[in-house]
Amino acid sequence: MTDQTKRIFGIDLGTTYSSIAYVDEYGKAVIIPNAENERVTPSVVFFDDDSIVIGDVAKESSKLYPNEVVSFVKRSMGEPNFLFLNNSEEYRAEEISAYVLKKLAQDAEQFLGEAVTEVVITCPAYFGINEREATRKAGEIAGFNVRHIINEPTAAAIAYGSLDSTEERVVLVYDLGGGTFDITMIDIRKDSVEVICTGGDHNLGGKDWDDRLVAHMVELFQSETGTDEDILDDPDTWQDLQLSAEKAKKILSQRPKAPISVTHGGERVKMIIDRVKFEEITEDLLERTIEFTKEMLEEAKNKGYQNFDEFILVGGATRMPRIKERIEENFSITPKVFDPDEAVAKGAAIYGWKLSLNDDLIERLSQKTNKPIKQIDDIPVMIESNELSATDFKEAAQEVADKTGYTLPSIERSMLKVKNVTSKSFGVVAHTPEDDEIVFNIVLRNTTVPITLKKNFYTAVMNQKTVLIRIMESETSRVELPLDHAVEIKTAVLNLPPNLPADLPIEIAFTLNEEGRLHITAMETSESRQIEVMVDTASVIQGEDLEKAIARSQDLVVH
Amino acid sequence: MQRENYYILLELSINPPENDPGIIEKAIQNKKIEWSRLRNHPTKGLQVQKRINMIPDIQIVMTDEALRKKEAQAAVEFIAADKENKKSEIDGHIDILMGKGYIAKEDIVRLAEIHGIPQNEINDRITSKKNAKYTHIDQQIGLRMGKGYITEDELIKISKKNAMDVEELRKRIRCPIIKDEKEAGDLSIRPLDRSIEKAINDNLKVVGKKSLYDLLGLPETSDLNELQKKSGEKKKDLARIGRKDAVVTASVTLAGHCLTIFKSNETRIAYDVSLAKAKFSSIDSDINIAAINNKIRYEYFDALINKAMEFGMDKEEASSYIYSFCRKKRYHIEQKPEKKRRLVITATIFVLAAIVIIAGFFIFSKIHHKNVLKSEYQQLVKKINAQTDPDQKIHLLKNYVTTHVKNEYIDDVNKRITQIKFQANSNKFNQILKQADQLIETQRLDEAFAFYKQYSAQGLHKEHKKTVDNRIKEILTLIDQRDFEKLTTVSFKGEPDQKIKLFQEYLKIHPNGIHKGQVQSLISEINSEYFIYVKKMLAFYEKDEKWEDCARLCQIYIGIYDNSNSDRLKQLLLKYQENIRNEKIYISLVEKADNQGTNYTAADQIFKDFLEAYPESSITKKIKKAINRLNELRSIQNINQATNDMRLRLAATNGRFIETPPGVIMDTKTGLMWSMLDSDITQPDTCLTYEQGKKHVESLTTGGFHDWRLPTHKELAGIFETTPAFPVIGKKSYWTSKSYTGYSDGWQIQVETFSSKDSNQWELVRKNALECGAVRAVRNP
Repeated sequence: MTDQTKRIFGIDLGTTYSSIAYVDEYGKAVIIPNAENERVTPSVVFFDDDSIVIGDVAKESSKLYPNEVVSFVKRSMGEPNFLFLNNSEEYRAEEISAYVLKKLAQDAEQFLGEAVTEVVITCPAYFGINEREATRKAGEIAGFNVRHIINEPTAAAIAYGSLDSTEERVVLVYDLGGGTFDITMIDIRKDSVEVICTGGDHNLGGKDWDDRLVAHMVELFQSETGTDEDILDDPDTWQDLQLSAEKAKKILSQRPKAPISVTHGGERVKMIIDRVKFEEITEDLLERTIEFTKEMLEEAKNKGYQNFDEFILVGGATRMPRIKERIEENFSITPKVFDPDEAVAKGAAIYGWKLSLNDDLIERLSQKTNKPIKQIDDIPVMIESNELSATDFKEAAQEVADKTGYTLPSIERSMLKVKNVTSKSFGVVAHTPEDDEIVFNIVLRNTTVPITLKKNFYTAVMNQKTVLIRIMESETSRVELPLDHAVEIKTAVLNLPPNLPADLPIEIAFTLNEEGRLHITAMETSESRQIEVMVDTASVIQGEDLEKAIARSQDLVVH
Repeated sequence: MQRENYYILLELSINPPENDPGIIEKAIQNKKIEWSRLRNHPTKGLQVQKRINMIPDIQIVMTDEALRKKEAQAAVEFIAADKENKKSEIDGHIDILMGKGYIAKEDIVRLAEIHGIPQNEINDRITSKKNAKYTHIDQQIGLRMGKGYITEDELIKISKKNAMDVEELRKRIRCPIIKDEKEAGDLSIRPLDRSIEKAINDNLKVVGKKSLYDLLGLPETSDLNELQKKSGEKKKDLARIGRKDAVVTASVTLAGHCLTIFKSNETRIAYDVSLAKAKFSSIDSDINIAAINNKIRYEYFDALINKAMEFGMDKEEASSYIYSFCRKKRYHIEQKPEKKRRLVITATIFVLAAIVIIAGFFIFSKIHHKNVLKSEYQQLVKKINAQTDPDQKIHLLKNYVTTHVKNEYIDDVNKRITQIKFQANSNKFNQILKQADQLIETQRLDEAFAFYKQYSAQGLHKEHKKTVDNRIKEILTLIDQRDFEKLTTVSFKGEPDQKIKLFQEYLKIHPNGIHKGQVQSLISEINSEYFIYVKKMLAFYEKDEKWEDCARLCQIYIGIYDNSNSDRLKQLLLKYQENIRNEKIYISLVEKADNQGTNYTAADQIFKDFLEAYPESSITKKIKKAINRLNELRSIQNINQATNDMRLRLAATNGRFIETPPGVIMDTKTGLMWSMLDSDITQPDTCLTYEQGKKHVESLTTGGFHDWRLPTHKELAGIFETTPAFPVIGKKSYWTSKSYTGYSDGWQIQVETFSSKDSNQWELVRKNALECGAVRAVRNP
């Protein structure tokens, strides 16, 4: 690869573990090991006296310095009321995630000897607007140019599809990560990866299995020692048990029994937990994932997808043998465990790679046709409509191939289309004729994005100055629903031009881009003027906090 | 569920409520941090997440002055209620822990943890509990101290009785403890000088205190040093008072006593003993009062024992104390009389001396020689004896009488006749009795009764009649008994109406039955139960408007009882009777209306006239229903008329509009299918809002189609504005399928309507969805 082609890295920012990948000179996606020579880095941040330590060391430190260590922040992304306090400094989840990203990038730079600036970051398909925005902000705080936020199952499907690019099939991606669960149906085709339906819970993951073990261990400890003290009130014990539970879970995925010792208050209790017990105390969690899967399959049926060809397991937690068994029992298909820890980062890297090739291609086409880069967006469509000549395209592709050393077909295939669906429904607060407030959904979940839907609003009085729109996010496919079934994610204020008559329709367009992010534009109908719409994503880090975080992160070296 | 109180949640001061915005803001921030840290706790994570989600609301409430004030108030109330709840719970726990005789430090720590209150509060509760217990124990000790000592036995007894550690108890005893009574002699307790004792008691009376301890405000178990110190203080305090009235003076005196008495253990014991004795003296004086004529009645003795036990003695001690006191005073204690044996009064049996009837055999030895007569007679006797059939016997005897003139044997023969007759009767009678007995034995009492009745009607021998009458009486008693037993079993179960029925049946059958009184009281006993039943049934019948049944029920009750319930039922009965009359009226109204045939308006008027005259009656609902029914019939009539009218007009459209199937008009120009009648005709006088219009069109099944919809403006214009046009009668404003969501202080729905300006002139009018409009349904073929 020459210097001119910018490398775009793929980052899997996980709840418990994160990893970074790139596509090497042979077109193969490769995970970059961290400074400790591990392929995955625990998403744990330890605020040491004067430095910030991330990864294994941080995780191990949680036992000794429970109050200086923070983990599982992904579950709090976009949550305005999550605050980590250290040394009288307050940190939001976005900023802590940024440190994890920084660590990954720093180690990758060390390894490759080149700067990491452009990235594709993944997030659970089930993330809503706020969480996505927060993920992007985390990347920005870390100093990256975030090219795209893509869904984890989509990334896994891209990685999976890249193995054999000729066969077209519909796959179910069952992604049980450390903290989140996604079930997604993806239609993989030659030139596109299309999400059909998605569902899940971003508060259900391997950690919940750990938590069950922790609770069980506490109970065993109590019955053994006869105490009824809640030993988890002691932060040291809590962290200790949390780590022991994770280890025990991993052992139980391999062997039928796991020995654990619990030490608290000078007492030490040794216990053996067997797999049967473990499965018994976590059965309901598994049940939830199965239910999500069934629901999602129902919705897929409505979209005309009656069947699927493969069932893929992604995410470290899918190594638990019971999951595979249960899926076989329920869906009469043998699921494939596919590169559970790395598929997502690799898929993101492949996607990034295609983006960069596409950039290159567009740049060359622009030079050839004297069209500004901005005008060249969808090359296949432009060729079809004769806006671009096929010859120009061939030449440009050949040039890119020559320059990068990749094969011509892989350059041509770089125009991979990723089609996504929105995992949430979006609507506005409306009044029914009976004057009750309801949520009126404009975009229903599992609608393919990008999409633009328009809605007319009317001015109430003459010379109205503003219109307030309350945008609501929900998790149902119903058009109308009660107010408390949805979450207010944004408020948009329309600033109207002066001297408008009363009852004037104003057309407001809700646009969801391919990442599932919402934009709003408005047009007043009398003179077709575009009107300014201010949208504030209230809960994501912004303004002063954001600037402060960026400044803090800039000269920060993480370990 | 009620949400947590924010003052408590934020751990802010409640009394007085924290109002400093800075402190509140800081508290919220601190909680944010704390909760964020616990966000991923394995067991508390969820609860904490819930709290994190509450933060926006917390901020709203705690920054608004009015809301915050309310919150603080709620916090105060909550804490008070919580404390109250906890108190009894804590007391329960303390009782359990005190069971072992003491409460250890770790018990307190645990209690404090469990109940989440500071240890000192637990201590306070324990102290107050202990104090209550100690007062009781001290009383028991004090009483025994009156002797000047306490024995080990007594000590153990008290300890056991109060579940208190012996050692703990020892600390509370302020007199020598000896092994047994024998040692008592060795003790040299110098009692308090009687005069001093008296002086103290008199002064105490003035100041209204019970003891010197009471005066100092210290418990009797207090440490000597403490008592000394307090005595000194008391003295000084009193000295400062300028006004020297009786109370002050007495107090000063007493304070002086305190100083001396609480100087050493010895003097203190002496005082304690005197105190204890004083308690005895109260019992003593009670005994003295009870002893009238040196005799104590057994009832008084019991009362004295109780009194002594109140002072802390056990029953045994009390009784032995009173006995020994009485012995000293030579009082006699009356023994409780043995329970009188119930004398069995054996009924005096009159044994009648057996009356031996010595049949005098009159031996007539008539030396007359009328041997013929004799032999004839003897022959007759022989014959008779040979005969078994009594009828034959009588026949032979009667024959003799008729064939012979009166002689000395005639009387004898006549006597024999009566005798045989009687014998025969008796035999038959005995048979009858036997039969009847069998019936009785098999409990066929009624048959037995009937049997006797029938028998007695035949005319009986006096003796037999008497027996039969007695038997009948007996059977009646048995029947009475049997019927009554039946009643008593029923009176425990079954509905009250069945009971009443049975009771009344009994009274009817046994108007003078043995159990008449009992049955009557049974009837009066269940009056409430029966009334409730009646009310229940009335409600039941009322629902179905069975007024006759209602009236019947009331009448039965009123017939049996005369009480406040029956008064109420009398009122109801009037109403029911009124309703029954109304029902009859209703039937006649319906008949009249039916006679009007299809003239529904006239029929309608009949009902309306009645309604106007009697707007509120039991049949109002029915009448309104009948009116509705007539309206429906009329509207069907109207629809039929409109349909016919429409068909005529449609025929004039030169074949553009064809009716197929009935009620559905196909526009041959566009192929669209229209409902022949619009909602103005099918639902006259109703305002259809847009939503109702939509529902109307969705529920439409005209022509068997279920896919009717609202037309577009263009479609409506297509039939009304092109010729030959769809016939239209009157002004119309049809809802179209096009609606807008309007935003004006909220949302409103705007809908396009297709409205007639004047005949055959139409325009597009945008209306609010809540206004009225008509629906002309359309469907695609």
